[in-house]
Amino acid sequence: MKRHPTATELLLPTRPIRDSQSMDVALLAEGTYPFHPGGVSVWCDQLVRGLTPHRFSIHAITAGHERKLAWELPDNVDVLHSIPLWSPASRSKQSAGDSAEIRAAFAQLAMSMVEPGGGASFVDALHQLFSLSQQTSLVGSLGTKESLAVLLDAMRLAGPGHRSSDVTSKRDPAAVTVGDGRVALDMIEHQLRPLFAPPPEADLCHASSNGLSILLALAAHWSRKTPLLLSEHGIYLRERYLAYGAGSFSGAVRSIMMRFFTRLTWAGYQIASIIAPGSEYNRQWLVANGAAPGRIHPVYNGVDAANFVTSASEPTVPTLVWLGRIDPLKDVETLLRSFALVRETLPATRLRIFGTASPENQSYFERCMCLRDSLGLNDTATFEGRAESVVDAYHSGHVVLLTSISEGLPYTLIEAMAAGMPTVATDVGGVREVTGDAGLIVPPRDPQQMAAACIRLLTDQCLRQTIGREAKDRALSMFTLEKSLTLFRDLYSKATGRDPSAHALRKDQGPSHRDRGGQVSALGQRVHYSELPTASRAGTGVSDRRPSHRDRGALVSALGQRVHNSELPTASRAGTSSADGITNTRLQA
Amino acid sequence: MTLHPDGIARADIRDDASGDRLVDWLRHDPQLAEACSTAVDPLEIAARLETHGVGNKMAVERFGYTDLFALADEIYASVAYEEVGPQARDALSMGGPLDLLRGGIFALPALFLPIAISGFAVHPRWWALPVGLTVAWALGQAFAVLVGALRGQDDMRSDSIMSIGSTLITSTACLGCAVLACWSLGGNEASVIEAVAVGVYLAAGGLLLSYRSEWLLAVCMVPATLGSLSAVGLLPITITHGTAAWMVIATLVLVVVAAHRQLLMHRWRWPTWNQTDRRASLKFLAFGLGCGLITSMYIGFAYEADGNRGTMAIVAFPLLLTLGVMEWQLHSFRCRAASAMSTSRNLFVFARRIRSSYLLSLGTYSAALSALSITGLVVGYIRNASMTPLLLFTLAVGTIGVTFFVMLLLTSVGHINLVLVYWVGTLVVLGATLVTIQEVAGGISATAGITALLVTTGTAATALAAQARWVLTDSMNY
Repeated sequence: MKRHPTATELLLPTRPIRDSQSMDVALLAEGTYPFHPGGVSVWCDQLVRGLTPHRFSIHAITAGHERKLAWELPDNVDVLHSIPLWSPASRSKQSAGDSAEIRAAFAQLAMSMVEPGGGASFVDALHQLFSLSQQTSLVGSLGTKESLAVLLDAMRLAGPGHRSSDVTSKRDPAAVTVGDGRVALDMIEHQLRPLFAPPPEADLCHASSNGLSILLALAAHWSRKTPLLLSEHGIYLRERYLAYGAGSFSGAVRSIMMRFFTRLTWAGYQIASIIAPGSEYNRQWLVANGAAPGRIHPVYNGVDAANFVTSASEPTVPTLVWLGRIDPLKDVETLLRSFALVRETLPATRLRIFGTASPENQSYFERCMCLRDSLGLNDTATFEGRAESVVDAYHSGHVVLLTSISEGLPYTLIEAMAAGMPTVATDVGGVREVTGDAGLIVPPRDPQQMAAACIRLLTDQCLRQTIGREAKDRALSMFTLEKSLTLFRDLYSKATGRDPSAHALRKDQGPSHRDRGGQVSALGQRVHYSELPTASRAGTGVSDRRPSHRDRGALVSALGQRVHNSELPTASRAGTSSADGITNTRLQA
Repeated sequence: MTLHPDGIARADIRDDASGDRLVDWLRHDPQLAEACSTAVDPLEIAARLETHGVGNKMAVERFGYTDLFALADEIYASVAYEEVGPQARDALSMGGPLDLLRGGIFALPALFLPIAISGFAVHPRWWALPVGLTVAWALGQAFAVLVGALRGQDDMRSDSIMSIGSTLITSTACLGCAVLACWSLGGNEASVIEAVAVGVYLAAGGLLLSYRSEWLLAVCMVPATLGSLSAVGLLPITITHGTAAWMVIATLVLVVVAAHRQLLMHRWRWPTWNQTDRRASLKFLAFGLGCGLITSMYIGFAYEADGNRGTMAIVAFPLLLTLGVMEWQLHSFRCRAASAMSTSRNLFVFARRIRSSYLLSLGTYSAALSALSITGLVVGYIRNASMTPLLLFTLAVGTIGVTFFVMLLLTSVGHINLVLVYWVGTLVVLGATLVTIQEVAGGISATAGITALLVTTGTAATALAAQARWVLTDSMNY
């Protein structure tokens, strides 16, 4: 069986016999589960564990060749694919014909990013590249002089200098340099790599964000008409805008990259059968970027109530608690400035910051520590690292804070509320939907208001207790894991058009895949599946069927387990600082 | 009046909330104002507004827009764009005195060796230097790639193993080749020791250069530099050759110790490389081997022409003294290429600027080499050396120097494969030529050998230099 050079696969053993109501789900993740902690990873883990008897394959887009798992994979995960974006790749040789087709497809892709209403052309270009990738490896092949020339033309049209909605008007071409083109080409080439990985084989694709995961979903859609359920915790596009801020790249590079992501976002909304944002707040962004309102079904994040108890007592020293990823979007700097103001009124107050920074955010972490030191908070504001127990972390303070400048439906807040803690949070994303009146809301980036709210709570025990009780009641009525999972079960059935009670046992798996292969041919698609050569991946077409992952699972177990569960890295998620719903998407920066 | 989604007709606040009013409002929040002026499209402004507490509610109630996106559209149209580029990395400098000093680091060992030999009164065979040089050059190139790959992985903990591995492998290889040469060409202990010593020195020095410790290497070279310069009378200190020889040994020891200082830092970890890095190291091994073989042939023919090495010293010094110029021009080319990348607005302008930079760098280096070569010829004439072989050797050194320069340029932009093709071609043609001369003339004289070397390398250098003019203009190289 040939493997694509950019995808690594970890085979997991022993697949139990499934019952009649299960389906195969490809969970598509980017920069999160199962290699990194964070709110989206928490959600993924809950989803996979909670939606037995469905079987899952995990397709994790990573920055490099991550090996160390941050989560113990449950038994209903059959296979884990890791798709590194930034691994080194040598260009494979192509025929002259293939090279010409690749150039043409890339040219279409580039121009579709700047033409008005170029979404359909963008998707078509992706489809062409995908089809070509089935014949020959495209990893590293897009970086050519010709591609650069086309991209430069597109970047001149996309340049941000001229502020008009008419993208075809003349712009000053002086803003774009060859260096800009090279940077952009390099980034686009890497971002497209998931498109060239083996398409997921599943009954349903469930993407955890509308970003590069969509490329996998598109591939599955074109290969097997696999439906897509798209979850969005934060808004991927919005977070890209915030990540690609001024100073990160030149305006020309930022402009073309944001157009790339905008087109990709639109594509995701078009192919998704169901769109399940984590909050109602995000609906406006979805609709503004092409999502059909009728397909939007918000599903709130949930927590397992049994894991969260109210603390019987409070610490003796007034303490504020913050828990999350040390990330610019979390605005730890405002947290520290607010705390400094609190200490002017309540000098005995302490601040405990639970959480760690990813390697990409180490410089931000250092900046925060410098700020802490410059504010004279060395002994009173402590960076505690990852919390062993999130409940204990919340209970170690009087008030839980959230200072983010962008959020989806933050787990931190839900968990803190479920633990009976009063909260002060910034009014971003779905925060207001979470807290309602059971918590204090302040504007983002406003240390004065944050500090005032903290002081109010710290000095009023009765208010704290009242808000804490109301918060717990609200969390356990609206944000339970059970509720969330029930909704997803229904959405899975809806997306696949299945009635769960009539679902047949799929021991052989073959017939449904073959049927889909037949449908592909019958519809006169651009590429007939059975004709695909098998250069870059083992054939998955009708006439060249390779064993599905189920068969491979059985073979592995019959052979005595090539990989045993106990051999897998089993870094427990205990004490993971669950923060928010924002995807860790900084790997592209 | 405007009918808002909530059905309530509101006064057209928006008419008053013109672009100017929005601009005025933004002045109260400089951070938001900057974010809006640098935004690449309205959606970015919408995202930024949200992070500053401006949502739909404020967009509607305060500014009278239908929603946040409409407000963002208006701001985008009203606020002039301001380019704020990425933080400039440390701009590449054009090169200069430091590069010339670095060249000195490369050239000085050529003085240490004869001082050590005369100081210890030994008589190694001619092949000792070529063996040590070739083996160390080849292995040094390979190790440099592997060290670079580890640095790319932020792996500092494999330094100890790399140091020990480099020293052991290089010394063992030098020893093996020296023994083989001894057996086949005849030799003595001094020859083997010289080969191993040269190999170890170059390996250790190469490691320090790979770890960007040129200053440390320069400091370690102080004893040998002082001793050698004093021994030849260039410093007002009287030192015997014997003492100077021991000072050279001291430098050798210092360089080796400095290259292995990681042993004291507990940097122990078995290094790992991917297939790409391993393949690249093999290619650079071959590249180093080619450089070493060509240089060794030159040394061999020069020795045959003039066993007392006096002539060889005269013709070699232009190449040695221009190593600094070579460094300087390589550095300057990279700087000009980076500048061209960041300022050229299209590929034609870029290609033109690269071609100019290339010709300037190549021309400058060639001019320096030519000037010193002419000086060498004049010195040789004054010393009544035989001018025909002197001229041939000088020209051969010139072509070798230019070849190395162009090859280093090409390898710096990733064209190692092209360089290897030329090296293999050159060595094959040269080898065939020498074999033919051997068959026809029954032996290879120094003049015939150097002539063959000159013609072969000269042809390769010309072709490579011409091709480089086009290859280097490919923007995908940078």
